[in-house]
Amino acid sequence: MTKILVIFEVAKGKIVGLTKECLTVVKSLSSTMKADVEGVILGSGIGDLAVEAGKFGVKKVFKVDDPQFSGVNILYHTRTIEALIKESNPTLVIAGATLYGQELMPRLAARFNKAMFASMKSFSVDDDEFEGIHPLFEEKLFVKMEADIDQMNFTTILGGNNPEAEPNESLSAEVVDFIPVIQDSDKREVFVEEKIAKVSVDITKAKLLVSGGRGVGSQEKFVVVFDSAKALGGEVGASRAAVDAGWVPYDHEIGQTGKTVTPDFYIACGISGAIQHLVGMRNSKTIIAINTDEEAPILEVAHFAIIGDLHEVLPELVKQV
Amino acid sequence: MKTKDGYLTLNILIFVKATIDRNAPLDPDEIFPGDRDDKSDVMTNNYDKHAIEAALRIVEEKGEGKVTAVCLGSDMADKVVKEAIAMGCHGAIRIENSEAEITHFFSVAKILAASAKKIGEYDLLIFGMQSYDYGTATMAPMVAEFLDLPLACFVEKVSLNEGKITVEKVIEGGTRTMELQMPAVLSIASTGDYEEPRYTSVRRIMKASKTDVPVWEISDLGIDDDEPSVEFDDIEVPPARTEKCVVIDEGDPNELVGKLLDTLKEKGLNLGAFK
Repeated sequence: MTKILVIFEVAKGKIVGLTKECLTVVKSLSSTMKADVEGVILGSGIGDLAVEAGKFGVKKVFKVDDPQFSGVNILYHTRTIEALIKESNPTLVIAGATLYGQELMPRLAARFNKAMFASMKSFSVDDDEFEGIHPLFEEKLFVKMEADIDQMNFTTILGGNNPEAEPNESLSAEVVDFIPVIQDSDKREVFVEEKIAKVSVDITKAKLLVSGGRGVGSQEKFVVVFDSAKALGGEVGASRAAVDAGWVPYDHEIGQTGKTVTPDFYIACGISGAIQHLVGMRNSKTIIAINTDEEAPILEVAHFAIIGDLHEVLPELVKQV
Repeated sequence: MKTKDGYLTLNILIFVKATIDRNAPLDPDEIFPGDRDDKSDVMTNNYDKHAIEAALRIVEEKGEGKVTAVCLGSDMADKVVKEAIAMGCHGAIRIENSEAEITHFFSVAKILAASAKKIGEYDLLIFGMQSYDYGTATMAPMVAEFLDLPLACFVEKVSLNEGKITVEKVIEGGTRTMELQMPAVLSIASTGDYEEPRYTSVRRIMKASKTDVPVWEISDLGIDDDEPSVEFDDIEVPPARTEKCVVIDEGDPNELVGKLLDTLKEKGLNLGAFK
């Protein structure tokens, strides 16, 4: 029987959204390939999540539930999933191209001396081939990738290209305990701690976002972004640069390591437009950039741009709207 | 590398890549530096500059050590190697790729792993988090596996402590701290401590151009000839954006905003809808 193995990523006690996007891809692959879908989930105290995984059309869930997995150690994950793959022999191993997936999957592929489908915008199966599209040059070009289906394949799926699969409450999967495999040499990587910001606002539902980047200048100066968002009836967004600088809490971050948003209006203030930010907001309906630099990459995705100082333009905008 | 007296001499290999320059026109038939004739079309992969910055700072903070830049590329990549030296790397090696033109990440990872083996002495192998051209972000993890070394990707901060390196790496929503036994492989994030790579000067680049950079041949590295299991095929150009950005750049803030709101209104867009 042909098998697809889905790696269920867990963060903040939940199955992550991108894993659910992968499950949408997997649903279509498995019906074309007539394949059984299996999942693997790793962590500590994840019994409920393993059961939840079964509601996504997965036939069997391998659960690695062990205190050694209470913090994410990607080498432990690699070793254990490698052992599972050897036992289960899937045709395809699939995960989200999250920061976790991007580190884990090339390690796994290399262990089987395989290349991989890395960060796929689309991924499908033809008669005897897997094929997919991978972005080049920060999505200015795309390249097709393909591989024979008669061998083991590894793929990571880029976020934001597929809807999240919805759990079906009437479905359930057989949950099988899988014993973790950790070798002494794996202790060369040790988990120390994780710092994750508490989430207090959900900016993904906002219709209007006023978003600030490095160009805002300081935490004190960020007040103008908050004030404008409030006056216009929207929420505050930020680039990673602004979050890293400590000007804005993490739950406002938009982009690769933050949220993906698609509001009616996205007002990007002092954001140059690094690709890591663009991937999180480029599908907003109307994008307005306020920037002193007319060469800034943000103008490549913006619909409207004011070339000027955001500290002068924003108050004026609030006054005139 | 521990010497007899137990003193730790730090050897860092930093892997740099030449890519098409961000400002050069993109041509789907000429996506590699070797395809171009004009050196100004080529740049150091921008993510690698953060990696160079990290390597140099680790050595500077420790007060001793050596950073060697390793680059697989054609002679078009000489510029990149020289820039690495100009930034402060102590030496460099270019692996000749003019004839072979190997670009597939799987094969490149094998070549880079083999070159590290040939160099022999290293404590850290440092990579940029991804490349501007392919952007697969596979290089550090694959090389780590081919050499059976500990790995941390998307690293924003490091500290060394007796043969171990403690790293803070980016995760969605925050950071994770890991401790790795050296030798280890790192990929460096474009955010965090190494966000702003140092600039170099014309004088330093001139000086670097006089540095003798050994050129190695791939055939001397003893690589297996396994074909990558996944192939790259046609390059596609996305449909051009139909409407250009409306740029408003004339007038004082009052006029700029007035023009923006007029334009929005013409298009039936109401910024005041959510007040």
